[in-house]
Amino acid sequence: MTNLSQFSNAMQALVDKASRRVVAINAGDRDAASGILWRSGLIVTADEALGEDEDVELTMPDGGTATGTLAGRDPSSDIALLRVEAQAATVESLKAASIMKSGHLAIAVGRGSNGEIAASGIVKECGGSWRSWAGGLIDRRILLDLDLDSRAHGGAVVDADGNFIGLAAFGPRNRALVIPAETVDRIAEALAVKGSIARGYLGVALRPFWRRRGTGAVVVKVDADGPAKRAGVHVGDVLTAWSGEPIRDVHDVFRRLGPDTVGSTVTLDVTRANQPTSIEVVVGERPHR
Amino acid sequence: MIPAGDCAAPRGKIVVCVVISDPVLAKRMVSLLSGDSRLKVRLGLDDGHDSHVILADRLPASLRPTIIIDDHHHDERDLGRWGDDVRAVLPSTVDEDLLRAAVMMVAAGFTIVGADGPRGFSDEDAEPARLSDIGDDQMTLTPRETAVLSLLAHGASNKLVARELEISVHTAKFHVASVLAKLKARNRSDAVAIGIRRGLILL
Repeated sequence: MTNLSQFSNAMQALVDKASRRVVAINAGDRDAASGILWRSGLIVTADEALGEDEDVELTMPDGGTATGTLAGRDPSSDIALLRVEAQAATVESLKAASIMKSGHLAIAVGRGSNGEIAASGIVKECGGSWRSWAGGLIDRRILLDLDLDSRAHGGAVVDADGNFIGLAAFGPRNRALVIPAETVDRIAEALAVKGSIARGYLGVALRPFWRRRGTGAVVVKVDADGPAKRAGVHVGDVLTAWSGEPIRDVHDVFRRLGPDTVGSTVTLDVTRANQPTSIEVVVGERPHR
Repeated sequence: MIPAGDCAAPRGKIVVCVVISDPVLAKRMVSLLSGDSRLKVRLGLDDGHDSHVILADRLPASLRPTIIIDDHHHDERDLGRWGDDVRAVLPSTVDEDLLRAAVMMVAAGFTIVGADGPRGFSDEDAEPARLSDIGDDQMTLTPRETAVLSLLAHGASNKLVARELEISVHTAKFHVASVLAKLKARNRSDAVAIGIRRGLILL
């Protein structure tokens, strides 16, 4: 055997092993996606890959079909959790990849209607934690130098030892990125218990605001029972800074209210009838009604 | 933020003078504003010329920052005739929060520009325009749909929407679909992004 065929067989074995944890999410007329058998009876996938259908047909690793029902979704970290009742869904816990740096081999494995879908490449970029557009805290920034098939969206990314790096997802401009294993575990565990991830909540509706000396957001509605109201924020106030950092636009405020902000205190710089002031608000949770 | 020098900041209560010929509309405007302790609302002509903001259905004689309540001037050319003192044009269906926000902003020297053009508030020399996607029945979400949109912003599944609003999953799905359609959104995330830009979601 040549070195090359050994390499080839080793790669194939890695894909084969990983694919035993990967299911296909068949979504009728919509683009299909993949999911990972995370723990027994529980499948994680990318929230964006799931779309509007929340009860989905799955093709299990053994080729059988099963029905997955949504247990919870968190758009802030792009993770959704499905429950499935099937013999084939009994699994051991995933072994997480340990050291990961740019240049390490990365293999993405999904499942389509014809079987496994594999892609290989290297870790292009590996950095610290980052915030998604919706304010979710993603523990590591891992971008891949590989061509991710849309049907493998939500599938598994493993390293050269077959250990789990994370969930395959698409970032801005359709670049392949990984939602790292520790983020998947953290969010999926919370979803399994509570069904949703509480975001930070101020209880204000905002509209954009700009002027010669900067930008901000105008309060156009205040929840009478919300944290902002309790702290003394009024309709017509202009929010200009969040704990010292300028507020660029309304979305900026949304992004800063990620799940990990619940319970924290922020200092809002507010302009009220042209008088600057600052207000301390304890970030709450959206009340259940 | 440092206040711009050319904007006189009102001290104490902001005096709003409502000059509207239709008694029903005038009464509605007064009632929308009267619960706000920051405002002092006066019905009728601005005798003392000490009001900070005039709320009118036509261009008043006194030179004061004015908010026009008007449902018929969709044509941009009509807006030109309002002149420099008109800082906002709002539909008669305007709700309490938006009207109060508009009064506070106009009192502070701002012009409110339309939601269809550059969205939001500005102190640039911009022509006032209608906040056309607010109070316009065609584009406005129902209270139910607004509640659904807020739940989507908090990551709720259809099941959770149903539970929170005490409706069936089927009905929840229907509301989600109608929110997406009205906002012309591709998916939930897109609907949330649009809703945030338009100030429809409680953050």
